[in-house]
Amino acid sequence: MTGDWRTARWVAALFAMTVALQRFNVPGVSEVSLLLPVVIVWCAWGLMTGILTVDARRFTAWLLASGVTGVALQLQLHFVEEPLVSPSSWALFMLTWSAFTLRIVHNDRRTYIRALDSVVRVCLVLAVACVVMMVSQFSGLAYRDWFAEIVPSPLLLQGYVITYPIEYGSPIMKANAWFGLEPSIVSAQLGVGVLAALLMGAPRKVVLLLLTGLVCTVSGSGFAIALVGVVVMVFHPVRRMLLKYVAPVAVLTLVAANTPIGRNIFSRVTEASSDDSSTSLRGLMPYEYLWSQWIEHPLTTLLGRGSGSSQVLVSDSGVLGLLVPTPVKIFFDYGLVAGLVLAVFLLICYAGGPSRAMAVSLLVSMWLLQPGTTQIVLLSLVLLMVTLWSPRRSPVLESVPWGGQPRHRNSTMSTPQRQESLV
Amino acid sequence: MTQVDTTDLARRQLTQPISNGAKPARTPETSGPPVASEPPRVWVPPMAAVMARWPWLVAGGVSLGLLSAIAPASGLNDATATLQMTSANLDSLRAKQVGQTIERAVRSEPVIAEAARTRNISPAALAPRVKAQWVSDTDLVTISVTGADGDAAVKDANSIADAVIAVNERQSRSQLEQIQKESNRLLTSGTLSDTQAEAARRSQLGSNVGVRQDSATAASTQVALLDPAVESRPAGVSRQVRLMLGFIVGALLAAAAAILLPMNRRRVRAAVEVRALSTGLRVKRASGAVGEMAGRMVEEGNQDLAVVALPGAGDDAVQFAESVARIVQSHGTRTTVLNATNREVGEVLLTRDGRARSRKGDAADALIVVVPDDEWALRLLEGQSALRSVVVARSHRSLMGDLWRVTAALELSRPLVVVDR
Repeated sequence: MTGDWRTARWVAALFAMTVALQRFNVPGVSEVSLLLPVVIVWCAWGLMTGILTVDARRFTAWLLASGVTGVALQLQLHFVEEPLVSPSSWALFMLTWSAFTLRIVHNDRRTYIRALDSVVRVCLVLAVACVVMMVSQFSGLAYRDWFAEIVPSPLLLQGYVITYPIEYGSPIMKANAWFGLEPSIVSAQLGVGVLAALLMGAPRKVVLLLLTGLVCTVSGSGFAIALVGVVVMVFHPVRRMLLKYVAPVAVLTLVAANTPIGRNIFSRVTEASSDDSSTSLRGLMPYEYLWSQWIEHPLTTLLGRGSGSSQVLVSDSGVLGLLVPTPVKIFFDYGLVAGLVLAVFLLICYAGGPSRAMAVSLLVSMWLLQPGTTQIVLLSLVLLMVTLWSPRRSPVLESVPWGGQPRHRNSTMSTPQRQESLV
Repeated sequence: MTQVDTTDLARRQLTQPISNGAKPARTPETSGPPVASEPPRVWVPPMAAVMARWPWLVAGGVSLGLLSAIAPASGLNDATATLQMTSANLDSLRAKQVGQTIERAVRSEPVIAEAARTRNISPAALAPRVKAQWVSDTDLVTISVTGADGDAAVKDANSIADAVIAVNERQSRSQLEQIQKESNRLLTSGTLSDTQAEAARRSQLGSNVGVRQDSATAASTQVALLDPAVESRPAGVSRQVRLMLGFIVGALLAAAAAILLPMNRRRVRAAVEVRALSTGLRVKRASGAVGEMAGRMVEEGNQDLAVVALPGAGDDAVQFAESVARIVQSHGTRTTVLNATNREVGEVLLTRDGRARSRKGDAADALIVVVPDDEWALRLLEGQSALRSVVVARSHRSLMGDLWRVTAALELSRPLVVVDR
């Protein structure tokens, strides 16, 4: 087996595990996802077998970020009024991001495209499950959380809304493929799948199936990822590859727009203006809620209120659905100085990947819409699609104009892929 | 093997005309940019840098850990009381809902007001110091109060707990009273003219009231004090946790410093460490390198070898050269070891023509020239790929910066680094 196949399979296996195990928690610790130790152990195995190596720049940045935020923690205990310091929250944060100090050894373009191929296959399974779940409900089979009925509750991750109706009073629940943690998380995974399929020029039916699964989640997370990625692709030579998808996507859009699901999705395009909308609760209200508390005292602004303090205050607010986006988490918890060091490290993790569309879309999503600092199920998307492949060895994937090339051996993708010489 | 003072040799070569009438050889011109006297920026693998400087991690961790542990605490105290919820219908989901409801109720205005009244303080002074938390997967809710005075914090926590219980009981009673009022209103209004029908109506109403009261009582959640606050403890993070946290943070910062700070002034230690710190370099211990170098000279037919001595390794370099020459000689190759520490001599011997004349003069098949790490010598050696080179370093004397500087200059000849103890 050549090195690049080993790497592609390693990536595919980890992605498959993040999809399959997302509802499990660490036995005995109901609020820590099982994916965290899984990712760490899998990365350690990758290190031992030569698939991964330590990236000097990110490792050094992680050390600095951990150290400086740790010092901030100590200073908060002594100088900040009413600190809400949770050392375990800080430790979880740093442990989660420790995997981002690694790099894939064979990070060439060909291996990346093979990895994208594998990710798309996993997402196809996810999409089919979502479609089946939705169709079964419309056929009269009421949704039941089979997963929770089979898996003992001490093994299930708490604090998530597994699914809920597509609209108030409807018996139809948003698709989560039964084993998904939330429709929005499944949507994000499918969004990455759609973008991966577009980047590798997958057949139209593959993209359509992924989009159909995405629609069934009735969640904007995946659409945001896919749309931002497409916008980035439009500004690069690879845009010509998108033309073949325009017609089928337009048809799908027209069909979906005439369904309750489609109407629900389209109605959310402008929901940010509404205070109780998901977009507002994720992207706007947290800033409004915490801003006054952050600037109340100069030392709180400088040193932060404490690791985990933003989450505590948001939970205490009583506002259902209010989340803590990444900028709030960084600067409210750790202050201006340590927050800046931490922000630089986090941003470095998005830089230098082989696909600009993937990096930009995930950056926008994780920083503006998702609580993307310790949710390993979402962060693993950034790890597997961007960070581990950085720094890239060749120009970004989007800079390669469309061209035919021989099929990958054993690939189920029937459309000719990128030119071998350009890969 | 012969060690020759090349002064005479060099002088003869420079002053005597060459027999074929050709002009005497000139001192070779130096061309190209001068060899850098400053060591180059070398990329050191991060893990190797951390491992090499592991004492920094220990020192950093211990220092910051001790500082964190001995620093005075915040001066605040924490007292905690625990409430238990009981109800006829308290499954896991309902327990979570009720628990979170009580969490909010603890900080509600009626509870804070009642507790403050009991304690004879203002609600504004009490409210910010109160926290409540439902304990996951249980029917318990903890109430914590922080304060400068530990005893006062204990009393505050217990008063909050009592206030929650009292408010909850009042709400339950109020619900029953409401049912009673509604029932009385129904009984006194809508009276039927038929006596029997009226009696039946009253009987039915009475039964319904009983059922409603029974349901209300069953559905209500009772809150009891399971564990009152007895003593307070210092608020915030404990000393042990601060110590551990300080140790970890100190070690992390020290690791970052180990990677970021240059290692040019670091002394050469062992071959294995030099190999780990210098990617792409071939590094061996002296004992292993002698045989390898001699073998290559014999097998590959390389005639000449330059042995560059780093500061502090002059004797080691000569010893290495003599050891190699001894082995090569034993294979029938006549070898001469020349010490070219003198610049005049060295500038002759390090040129191809100069070495050719030396070999001819000494009737030697191969030359091993020991040179210093001076700039003039490296400049002469840096463009020569046919001449093999070895860099000899002395453990605990030579510097990594000098080693990197010299190996960078000799890159074309792919030098072997020998670490001598």
